[in-house]
Amino acid sequence: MIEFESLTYSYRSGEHRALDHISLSIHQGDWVSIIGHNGSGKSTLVKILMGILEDYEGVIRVEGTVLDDENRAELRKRFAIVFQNPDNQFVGATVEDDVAFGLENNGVPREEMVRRTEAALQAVNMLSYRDHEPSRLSGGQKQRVAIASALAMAPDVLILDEATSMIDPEGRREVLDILQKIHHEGRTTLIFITHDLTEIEQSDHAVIMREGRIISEGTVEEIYQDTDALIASRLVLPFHIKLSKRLLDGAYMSYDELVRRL
Amino acid sequence: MNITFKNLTSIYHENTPFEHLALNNITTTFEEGLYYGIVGHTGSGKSTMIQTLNGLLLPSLGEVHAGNIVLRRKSRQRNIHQVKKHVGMVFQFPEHQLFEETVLKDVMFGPKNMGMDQRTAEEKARHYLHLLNIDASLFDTSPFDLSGGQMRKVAIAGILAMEPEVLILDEPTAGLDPESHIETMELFQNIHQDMGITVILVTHDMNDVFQYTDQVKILSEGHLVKEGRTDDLLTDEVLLERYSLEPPDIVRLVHDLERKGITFEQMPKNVEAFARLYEEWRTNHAQ
Repeated sequence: MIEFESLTYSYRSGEHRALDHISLSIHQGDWVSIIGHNGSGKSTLVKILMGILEDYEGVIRVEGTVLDDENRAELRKRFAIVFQNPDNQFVGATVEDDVAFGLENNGVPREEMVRRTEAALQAVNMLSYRDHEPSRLSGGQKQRVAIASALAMAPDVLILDEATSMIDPEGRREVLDILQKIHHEGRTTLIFITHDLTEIEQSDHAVIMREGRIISEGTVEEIYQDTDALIASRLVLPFHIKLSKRLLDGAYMSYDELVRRL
Repeated sequence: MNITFKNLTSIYHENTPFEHLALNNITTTFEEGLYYGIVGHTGSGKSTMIQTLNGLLLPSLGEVHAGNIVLRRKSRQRNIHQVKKHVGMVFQFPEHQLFEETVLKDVMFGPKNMGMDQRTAEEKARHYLHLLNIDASLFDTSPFDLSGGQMRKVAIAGILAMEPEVLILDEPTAGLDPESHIETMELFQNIHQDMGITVILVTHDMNDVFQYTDQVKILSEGHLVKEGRTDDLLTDEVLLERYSLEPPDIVRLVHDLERKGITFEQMPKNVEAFARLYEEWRTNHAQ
């Protein structure tokens, strides 16, 4: 479990708070979506988790241990991240090299490195592309390789920072399918950052951020019902939820359910 | 200005082991004043098609007729420049191409490069910045101090200030949040309607293609496999399925309801239009 307690951060002292007393618990194995616009604070939260920003106020606990200067580097190894731009995260000449890179850096013995690389590529359905050049893959394939590189490090927590926003709809579906698979295995906590409400349906828990604060939190169903928070944070409801609100009782339902009830 | 492709073929890395046929013998016309959508999978030839439309790429075989200028395999710079003058291109993430010291200078760069004098270029720049709701107080600031959304608008103003007759949009909403997405698409719609310029939209977003365009061209593996009215092509489930294209949300719903016996006389274009048709149907079919 990761707990944030009253987490506050300003980029320059005295200026407005990028994070303003954020308290949130993330349970091991859960898929948690953090939704909000640019400037809502979601990226600041990620940067703090990854140790890129350090001078915050408040407390972060990982499995009960308070994150501090002594243990930060060690605890950070439990986190892995996939970024937004699929073209900015490759180091290897082949897909396989790329996934092995982090393991090699951490001094993992060769035999285990090969085994973990294969397993990670298998997990994202990219094993048959192991000899391909990363730059020649589609956007969705690139992001799946980036996920494999992260998974190979066997993190407890996988953070996806708008990892689907720059790829085509097909690639987006591929990535979401892979995440669902990882989620079902239950070992890895997923922190999924997005501004697209159609992408959160699989998550266990969702949080809407606005101007550095959490303005709504709950199950996906509860988030879809929280009209005030959605309007305040200028988020657009998925097509079928919009219609359910406009034509039926506004209850949360899947697309198939909508068709059945109309 | 109409743009016509005549038996146009585009080959990458010709005569090397990497030779790749990006566009295969395409003959088609983009008529003046219409709003076109180009759809197809990644790798279908969409990018090659738009780069050929504005002279960034020359055909390997065949011709591009832009008004009365003809581009061929070995056309001269002067002709290519003429085409670029009339055909403006908004690239993906256009804000990455900002580079001048101030917003105003950045927008003036294009028109000046096209041979406009300083004063006219500044007039145009101010006019289009104003049209895109960029406040005059920001004109002398660095474009890099603006928000992402404002930066994109400044980049678009730079293209519009060249007053192209044809405007090409390459995934113009990629990476935008939902609200900016709608705002950007509405902006292009207004430009299209008010200024009468031809717009060519390349996107994966079938909802946008359905809502905004008049005509669609479907590309698959370098072939132009179908072209016609948006309302005909994007409502044809069999056709879309054949090229693995997603139907627009509204079309999918209307077809799913048809299978339940709920039928409308026309195809609604947006959620509100759908809701009204549905309520009307309910009223007429109330027991």
